[in-house]
Order: sequence, then structure tokens, then C-alpha cells
Amino acid sequence: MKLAFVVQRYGLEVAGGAERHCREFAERLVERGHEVTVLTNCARSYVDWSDDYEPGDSVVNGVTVRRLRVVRPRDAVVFDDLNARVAWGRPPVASFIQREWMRQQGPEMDGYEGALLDLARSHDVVIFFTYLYSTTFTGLLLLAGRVPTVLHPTLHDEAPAYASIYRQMFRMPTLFALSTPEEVELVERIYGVRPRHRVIGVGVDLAIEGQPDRFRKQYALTTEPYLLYVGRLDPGKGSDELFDFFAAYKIRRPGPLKLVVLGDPIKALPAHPDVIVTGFVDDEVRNDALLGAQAFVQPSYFESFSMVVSEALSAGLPVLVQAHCEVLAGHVARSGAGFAYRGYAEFETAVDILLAHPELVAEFGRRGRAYVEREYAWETVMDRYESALSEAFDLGAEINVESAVR
Amino acid sequence: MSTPNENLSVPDLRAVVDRRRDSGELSADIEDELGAHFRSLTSFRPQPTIDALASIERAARALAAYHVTVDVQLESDVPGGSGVHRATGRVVTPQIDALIEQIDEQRDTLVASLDQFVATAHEVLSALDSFEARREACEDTFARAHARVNAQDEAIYQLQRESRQRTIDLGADHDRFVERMRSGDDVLAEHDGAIADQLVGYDPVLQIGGRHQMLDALTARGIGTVRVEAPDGLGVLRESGGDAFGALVVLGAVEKMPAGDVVELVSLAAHKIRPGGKLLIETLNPLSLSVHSHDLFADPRRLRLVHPELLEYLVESSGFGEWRIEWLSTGAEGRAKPVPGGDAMVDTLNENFARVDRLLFAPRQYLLIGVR
Repeated sequence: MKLAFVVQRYGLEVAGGAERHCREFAERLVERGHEVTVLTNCARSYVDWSDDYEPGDSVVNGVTVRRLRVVRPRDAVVFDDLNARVAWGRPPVASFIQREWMRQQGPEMDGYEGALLDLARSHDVVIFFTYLYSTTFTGLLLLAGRVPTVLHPTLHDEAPAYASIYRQMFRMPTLFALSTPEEVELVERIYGVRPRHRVIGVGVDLAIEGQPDRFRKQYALTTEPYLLYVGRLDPGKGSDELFDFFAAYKIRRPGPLKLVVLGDPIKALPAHPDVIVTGFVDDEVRNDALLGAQAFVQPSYFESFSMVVSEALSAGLPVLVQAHCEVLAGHVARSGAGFAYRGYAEFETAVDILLAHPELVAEFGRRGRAYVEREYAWETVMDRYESALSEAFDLGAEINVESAVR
Repeated sequence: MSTPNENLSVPDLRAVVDRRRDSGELSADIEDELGAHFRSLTSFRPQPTIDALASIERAARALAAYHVTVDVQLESDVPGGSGVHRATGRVVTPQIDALIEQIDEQRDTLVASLDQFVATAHEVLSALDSFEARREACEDTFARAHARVNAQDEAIYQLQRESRQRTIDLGADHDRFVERMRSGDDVLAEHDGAIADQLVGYDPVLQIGGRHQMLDALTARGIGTVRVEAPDGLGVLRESGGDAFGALVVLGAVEKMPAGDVVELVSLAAHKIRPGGKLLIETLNPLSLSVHSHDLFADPRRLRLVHPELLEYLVESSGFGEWRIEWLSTGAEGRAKPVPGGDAMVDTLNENFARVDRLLFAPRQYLLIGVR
């Protein structure tokens, strides 16, 4: 098939779960013999959408990437005020304010609509990644009814998702490609639409190799057990809460346990003698750290899949995850490979149990590996994905309109 | 820590936590303290609730069931006290009874009002539910309508595209006819050399449609030129990069295009020709009535005549810095012969013939030259 992806950023250097998710799918579809074009812009950062890449066509790992210039960088002053009103303000919010919020959020690209129509007229299916940005909002409304479309919303239970401007958009795709069963419920709950969907998930490399001793040596660890967190240091990701919980734990349970944090700081953590913050690390260091950890902690409230959790499970680690995030709790419920904690008391108890019961840790590790092998081996995921794209193609440009409320 | 009784199944974490709480091992203070922080991170999503109505209903039922009773004390340990109590009771009791009766009446009124309020509120909530369902239906309808409009728009686009791509086939002699229409005008061919001279140093040149003699004239001067047929011209321009050409030569093509394509052609030219480059458009002149009655119909591929003022407007509005019109033929071959003689009547007659000739036989073609 001739497949087109539309995504807010794209490139080997672009950080971000949804963007990486998109790139993995695009490259693997090329490996399977499909012709893939990605329509995106020249930005690496979503904070200001500044042009970093050259505009025009290029080929990245077999994928044709068509980059358009960003019309203007995001004006944080204007956007933050609008965001406070639309995402966090009391509804209802006037439609024209929401549309301006969407425009300010960006990325607004030069010649986007024309490029999108050209793409739609020369490809079998157009696939949009991430519900949030104007690339998807503008694009889905423009292409609905013209060409089969697939939306990967990568939906989180977060404040902007409740903006009523999205209610129409979530009725426009031909098919939803969702990451987890929990995302289906979330789409229905927030937008009142029963999505025609396939749960695809995200693939994970099953063979994670590394040298845990190398990591311990690099960060002056000897035999101390450590909990591992991989991700942005961002209150929205729960990193502040994890720090508070861990600090409280260490007051109540003095001992050798450490917390190792791999990730770029959006908001830095306070200094703590038992918390090691490495900053961003490459895959080799991350794998070394994964293989030596006692358990993996994912404190985030807003995840649509959490690739790091699936990688931790693949590495045989028990996981401690935020129970308020239904997706994370779902992973734990289906895998039986850890605990979903809700509040400090459960966090403390879960850590106590894992430290005191190595046989349970080993069992959790076995269950986790079995879970990702069963559900998220790349071959399995790509088979599901190809089947979903074929279904979308067969459905044609039919849109997905079936309200949950009747 | 107390050792929970886990085995290799997933322990019930919450049950373990409860046991720890019961034993006092986990203090509520830490949880509460961190709970505030925890709650501060959750998103604000006010949900409509009818709990307040349930509270009002419960209060109304309790109020309805409540009866005021007065237990008047008659006994007394004080000598003579009972008599005083009875005497007081006789005086006060009727007043108290009346008061209680009034309170009961007021209470019944209040309960009835509360019942009415709750019933009305339920009706409002029910209407809201119904509204919500209708709103969802509206969202569906709007979504379907939106997609239908898009689908119609796409169908129109595809029809237009097919119409543009459709070539008129004149049968076995088609190619010979086309070439005859292209090269039949010797007057135009004479201009080719002059036009080509103007384009030295402007390569690469894109020639859309027109005579092969023009291509020969350009290449003979060493000007790198690509020639495409008129129906393919727009597509080639769309796919070309910005500033890709030094000049664009469009010969006998715009009269074969839908009006929208002519607008797009000039607009694209303003981006695809590099600054300082040239746009040349040669087409039939609608100011000649002979062109309307003859040339327009001689070639069935011709759709409409393009007025020079329209082309000038498009070139100006697309951002070309300068432009001019050149008339490519005199049109004299069709004109009436002047009446010989020299008196005033003959002069007037010839002047009138000349006026009609100018209308009938104005130059058949004109050339617009724009500089970006």
C-alpha cells in the first residue's frame, strides 16, 4: 500500500513517545514492502516549533519525509493565557477561542492544506499521530470523507483533551489505532463516541542487552538496590511525586535503597543523597541501568501506552506504576508483573514487599517478559497494524460516527 | 515492618496496606500530607452531581416525619408546686398547642415546597440528559455533513482534473491537424527568433504548448529548454521547485485552459520563475471579432479567449514587477480595400471601413511579457 503519515515532528533526533512510535511504524512498514511518506515540519522542539531541519523531501531509513516550514514559532505568552482558559478554565469556552488556541498551539505550517490534499490524492490511507496538535485537527477535518484515515490519538486523560473542539474531530477518522484497551474507554468517555478501532499497541525489542556493572561503576553504585525511573522530570509525569514518596520512604526506612532517574529535567528535582539523576542517556546506558534495577517505577498520570514500561517488563523488571493512570494500571492487571500504587501508603508497602521477597521479584520478571512477548513483539504488533490499515482501506473514506449516547 | 503473608501470586496490596494501617504501622498523617500534593497534580474536571438533591430529599422526609411534642411538667418536689404547674399549664398549653399547629402547617408547606423543588430539579436534570443525547446526535449529524461536503468537494476536484486531462482526439489525422494549427501562422513563426533572442541567458526555460519552431529557435541559441504539452503544463509547474526557471513561455495554451487554471498558472509562475526572470504568454486576441468567428472554432481544443486586461491584472496581482503587451500581427490581411478617390465622401467612407476593419480584424494574437 501507499501510506502517508502526518505527525507534528519527525526525525532521528526528535525525542517524544508519539513521535518515536510514529517513526517505528513508518520504518517497519517500509521493511514490509509498503511505500511510506511522512508529512511533517522542520521543528525538533514542540516548545517553540523553531525550524531545525531543511524544508523539502528527504529519505530517512527508507521513509520519504516531506518537511514544511513552520509559519511562526509558538508565542508562549499568548498561548499560555489561551491554554489556561481552554484547557483549565470553566467550560463552556467559545468556539472561536478554542480555534485560536489550536492555531496558537501549532504547528502552523506553510502550504499545509495543499500538501495534505496532494498527499491524500496519491496515497491509499492517511495516518495521523497524536490528537492534540493542529496538524491532526486541521488535517482530519480536511480529509474526512475524501480518503481513508486512521488516527492514533495517543490519548491521555489530561485537561486539554476535554476541550469541546475535539468532539467533532473524534468523529472524523475512518478507524482508530489505539494503544491499549483503556484508551478505547477513554475515547468513549470523553467524546461520547463509540470508536471503530483496533488495539494495536507499540512493539518492544524483546532482547535487551547490557552490562549492569558498567552502569554501577559509572554512577558509583556498589551493591545497593535501586529503583529506576526513565522519563522527563516533569510534574505532569509524576516525577515530583515520586521524589516526595521516595524521600518519605527513606525517612521511614533508612537503608541502602537508591532511586536512579534517567531523563531530561523540565523541572529539576531537589538534591538528595539517595537520588541519582543522570540526565538524558543513550540506549546503551539505559539498557545497563534497566538490567541492574530492583524495580522500575512509572509515576506518570498521563500515559497512552508507556513504551518505557513495556521495555522494563521486557528486561524482566517488576514495575511499580501510578494506579491513577488507567493505562498503566491496565498493564499491571494484564501482566501480573508488579503493583499499581495509589498514594504513599501503597507505594511504601509495594517497595517493602519487593525488597523483602526476591522470589516474587523473579516471578514478576517472568510474567512481564511473557506479557510483552505475547502482546508486544514487533512481528505481532505489525501484523495487527497491517491488518488494521487494510481494514481502513477497505472501508474507504467512510467516517466513524457512532455516538455512545443514544 | 510486619511481614505480609504473600506468596507468588500477586498479593492484594490494598489489603496489606489496610492491615498496616490497622496496626498503626502506617500513620494517616503522611498519607494526608502527601495526598495534598498528590491531588494538586490531578486535572480539574468539574462533574455535574445530583447528590445535593438527594440531601434535600432526605431532609424533606426527615422534616415531614418530625412532630413537635410538648411534655408539660406537672409534678413538683416543691410544696404547692404541682398546683402552680397545673395552673400554668392550663394557661400556657392552649397557646403552645396553637403554636405547634402553626409550626406543623409551616412545616407541611416547607416540605411541599421542597418536594416541588426536588421534582422540578429532576425534570431539569432529565431535560439536560435529553439535551446531552440530542447534542451527541447533532455532533454526529455535523460530522456526517462535514464529511459529505468534503466528499462532494473531492468529487468535483476529480471531475475537474479528469476534464483537464481529457484530450480531444481528432482521429488518425489528429497529430497532423495539431501541427498545422501550430505552425500554420507564418507571421507568428517570424516572431520566434525575436522572442528567443530575448531569452538568451534565461535558461532553463519551460515551454508550455505551442510551436516546435519556438523550441528549435531556443535550442539553436543554446538556451536549455524543456517543452511540455499544454495539458501537462500545470502539473509540471506544481511539482517544480521555487525559482526553478529563468523563463516560462506559454504559447497557444491559455485559451485551452479552464479559467481557474489560467489564474493558477500565473500564480505558480510568480514562484517558479526566479527573480528577474520572464513570463511570456502568447494567445489569441479577443479584441478581434474575426478571432471570435474563426480562430476560436477552428481548433476544438480552444475553450475561451483570454482578455489582455485579465492577464495584466493576474500578472500584477501575482507580484510581477513589470509587464507589457505586444501585438503580434496587424490583422491587415482581412481588411477591406480602400475606395479609390480623394473627395470628402470617399474619405469618410474609407474612414468608416477602417473603423469596422479595426473591430473585425484587430491583431489575431498578442504576447504578454512579464518580468518577475
